[in-house]
Amino acid sequence: MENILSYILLFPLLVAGAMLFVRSENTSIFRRLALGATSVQFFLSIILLVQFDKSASISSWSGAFQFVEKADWITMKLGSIGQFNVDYFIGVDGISVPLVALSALVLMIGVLSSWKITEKAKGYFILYLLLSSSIIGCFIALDFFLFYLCFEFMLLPMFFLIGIWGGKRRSYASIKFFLYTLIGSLFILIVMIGLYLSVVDGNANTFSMVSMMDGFYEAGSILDPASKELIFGYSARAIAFIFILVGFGIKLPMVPVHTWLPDAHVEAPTPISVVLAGLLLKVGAYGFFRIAYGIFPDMAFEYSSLIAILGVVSILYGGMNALAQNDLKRMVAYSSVSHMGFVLVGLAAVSTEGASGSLFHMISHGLISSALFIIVGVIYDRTNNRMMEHFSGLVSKMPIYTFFVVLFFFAGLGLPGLSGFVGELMVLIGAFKAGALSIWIGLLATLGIAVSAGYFLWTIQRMFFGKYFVREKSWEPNMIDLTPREKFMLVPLAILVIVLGIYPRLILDYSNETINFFVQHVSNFNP
Amino acid sequence: MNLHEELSEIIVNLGSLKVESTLILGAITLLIVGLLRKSSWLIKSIFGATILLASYFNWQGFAMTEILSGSLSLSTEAHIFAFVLLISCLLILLFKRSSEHATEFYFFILSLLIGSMFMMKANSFLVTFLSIELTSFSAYILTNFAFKKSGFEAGIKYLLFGAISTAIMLFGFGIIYGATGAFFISDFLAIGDGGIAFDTGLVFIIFGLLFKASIVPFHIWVPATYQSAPNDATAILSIVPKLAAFVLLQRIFQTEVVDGWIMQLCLTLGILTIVFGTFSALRQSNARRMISFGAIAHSGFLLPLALLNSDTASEAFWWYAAVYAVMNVAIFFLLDEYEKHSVIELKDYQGLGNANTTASIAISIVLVSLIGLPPLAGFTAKFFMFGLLWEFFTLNGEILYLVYLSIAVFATVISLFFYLRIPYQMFLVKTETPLSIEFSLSTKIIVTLFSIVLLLLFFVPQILTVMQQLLTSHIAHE
Repeated sequence: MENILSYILLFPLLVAGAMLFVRSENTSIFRRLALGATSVQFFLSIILLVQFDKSASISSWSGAFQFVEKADWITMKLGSIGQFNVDYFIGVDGISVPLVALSALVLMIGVLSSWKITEKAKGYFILYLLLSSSIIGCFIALDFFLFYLCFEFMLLPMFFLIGIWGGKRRSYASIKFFLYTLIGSLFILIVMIGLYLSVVDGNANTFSMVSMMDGFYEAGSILDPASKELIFGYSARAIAFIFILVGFGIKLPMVPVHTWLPDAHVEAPTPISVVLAGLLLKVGAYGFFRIAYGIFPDMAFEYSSLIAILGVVSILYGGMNALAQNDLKRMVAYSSVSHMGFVLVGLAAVSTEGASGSLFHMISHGLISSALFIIVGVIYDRTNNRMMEHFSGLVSKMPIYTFFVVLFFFAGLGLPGLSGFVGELMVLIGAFKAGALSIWIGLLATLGIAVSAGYFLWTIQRMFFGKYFVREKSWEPNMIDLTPREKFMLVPLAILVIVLGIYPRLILDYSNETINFFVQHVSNFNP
Repeated sequence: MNLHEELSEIIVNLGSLKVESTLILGAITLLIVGLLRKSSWLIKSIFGATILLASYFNWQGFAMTEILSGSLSLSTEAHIFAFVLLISCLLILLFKRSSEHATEFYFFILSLLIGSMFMMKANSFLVTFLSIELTSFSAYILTNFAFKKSGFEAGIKYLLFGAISTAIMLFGFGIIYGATGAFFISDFLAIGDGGIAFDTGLVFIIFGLLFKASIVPFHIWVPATYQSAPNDATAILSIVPKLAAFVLLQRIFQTEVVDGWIMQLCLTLGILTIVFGTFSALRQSNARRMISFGAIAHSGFLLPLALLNSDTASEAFWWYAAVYAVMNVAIFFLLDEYEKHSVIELKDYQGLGNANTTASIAISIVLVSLIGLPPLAGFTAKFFMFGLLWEFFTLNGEILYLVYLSIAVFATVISLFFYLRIPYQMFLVKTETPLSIEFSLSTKIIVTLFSIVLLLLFFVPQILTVMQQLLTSHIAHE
């Protein structure tokens, strides 16, 4: 399986292409094909996990990647820039391999969650498969151009998936989502061009992120760290870093550029919310790892306090907002904002604990938030409503459902023994240990956990305990417990959340070597 | 030099004008045949054959010199852009056009094309003026070819603005001739620093060309014209004269006599063009008018590629221009198809996404390419443009390039708002009684091909550069 990454990347595209030729009347065939495609993707990613060499020691980024595939894609002479080279360059390291596996799992569960979608099923599943390819592409691309292509191409399927299959205010939400992320990605585009003009591989300019991380700058080029040139009084690298911060910050999302997220989540259909929270936000976080910290380590150090503060603000502001929501889905959406703040805090610590914690938290949040949105979907499917005050005492009618709700809510608030705890703990250790960060960062982040306990527990108490009550009489017959399909989606997530909580090495073994090198690489720039 | 020598030189030189000669002969044949037989099929085939033959001669290439005592200057750019112009004109045969006035229509398209071909090669002031006038007058008439009151108004508006701008341009020629005695663009190089009179004249000439290229503030005729002309004429008007004007501008700027302040002035106008085109497009309710403002904004994107003098610039210029031509033919073709089903205003597009999937996906693809998002050719075109401005900023450190870059990026975001309004209406807005319209199979195939071309050019951008190299190598061969 030498080209396993290409298979993972391209197989859904192939199936999507095949779907074009199926008559759109056969609604059920599309979901089966999509499930088949994502299952193959998942199966391949398991093979990838098995075959990945966890103990390979790393001395430079160029040696850090496994399953590397490199082929010429675009080679054209372009005036004085010389050769314009784009490679089909993919590979995985310890940071991206767990994310690829997570994506494959969540995407498969997403298809299961889309089982009820029969309206325009052909379009839906074709877009879904395009989306799944581009998400995987983001995690494995090592060529910046390829990365950008995948990053940007997530927008269009997402726009239509929210806009066509979404809720009442879907058009507003989809446009807001598109606009925010497009602004972000154009910031990234500018930096990408700057990097291309500055980084060389041999003597030709290159888009290779590996060369960018290893810092092969052309002497005197604009983004060369040694360059003294200033733009409006700032070094070009500082400006580029801020651009990257905004670009990926929007995707993450980071307060104050998070406002697209609640709207998009609330209006998106359940499976798309699952993918959005489980994976798209991780792409933003991955961008921080790979590009903000990987390519601009010097700037990352300079701005680590800023990043940590933004992280803490996200944690607290997101948490406070979640506390104030009546709509269950909006509450879960804001909890995502809050949780992604931990990723920033962990990164800003620039220590093995912090960075590993960030990565672990990404995976854990990917699992938990997917499950939470499925949970919201369960109640919404039954009643077309998800206002908390309309429900009470659900445990008496839906005990299994309540069990899963409690499990994932506790995972979300960081109960020891579940995966959420491990990530948060490691991030906090990192934050307290980091000399560069004020002690307040750690303290306030800890306060964030208390806030999350507040909204999760309060919700459980309001909706699931107490006297049984639903607002509308007509909902009564629908209040049945989980169907086998719903269990089938939630059980694997639940098992993983528990297993990772007890045995976090399952992820950390993969990431250890890479994270160690990552931290050491960034620390070299400690002034 | 006696008369005999002069004549024989002219005859030799005419060999380099095979393309134009073919077009002229074709146009005359078309007129004669049109008088005798009213068969639109015959007219179309003569039109197509003329252009194919001209493309063949263009493919053969010609020696890069000044000919006819310096009246024309044959440049590589003129040679390769002639190809884009010819192909665009050929593509308008795809548009479904009633047989009424077919002769006149295709005749004026040809005369517009001839004017533009000469414009790209013009060297003496006289030929420059004549070729611009030939282009303009054909364009004035084409504007009114829908035979509606609005078209007539637009035609008059266009004529008045056109007349004023040519007058300004003539004035510019006069000043330069009076101040320096130069009568040829190629003479500019020898002038060196021409002083204020020369600069003023030059600015006037450039203004005349910016009018053709629809750069703010010389764009006022564009929306009305594009909206009122028949769609095939609009497609041609938005491509042929515009690109020809840019090619001529490029040649003027390559003489390197253009002062820094003139360059800054032009770039500032380019920035204004992008801003104005983008923001005005936001306020439109008519699909074609919105696309017209989008085309104005695209002029702002093309401008620096034509003005800046570097190898990268000229390649990026070629790339952008070729993609721009494909996108514009495609979008006006699609608009034409929809307008035939009386889908004209933006709100008419409501709920059409389900009615005809192929066409609605194709129009979305073309519009996304016009925005400039991957994986479509429009992205690569804008990408090269951003890259060029970055590069010039890095080399010169002039802030204006950075401002241009930021505005261009910003405008790309804004353009999302208006270009996406058609797919938005089609897919996202639900109607109680969705219109059901059927397109013919040929339409579906054509729009699918356009979409594939736009995708292909993104994934294999080499196609266009290889094509450029092939065309250029033919010249070197001579």
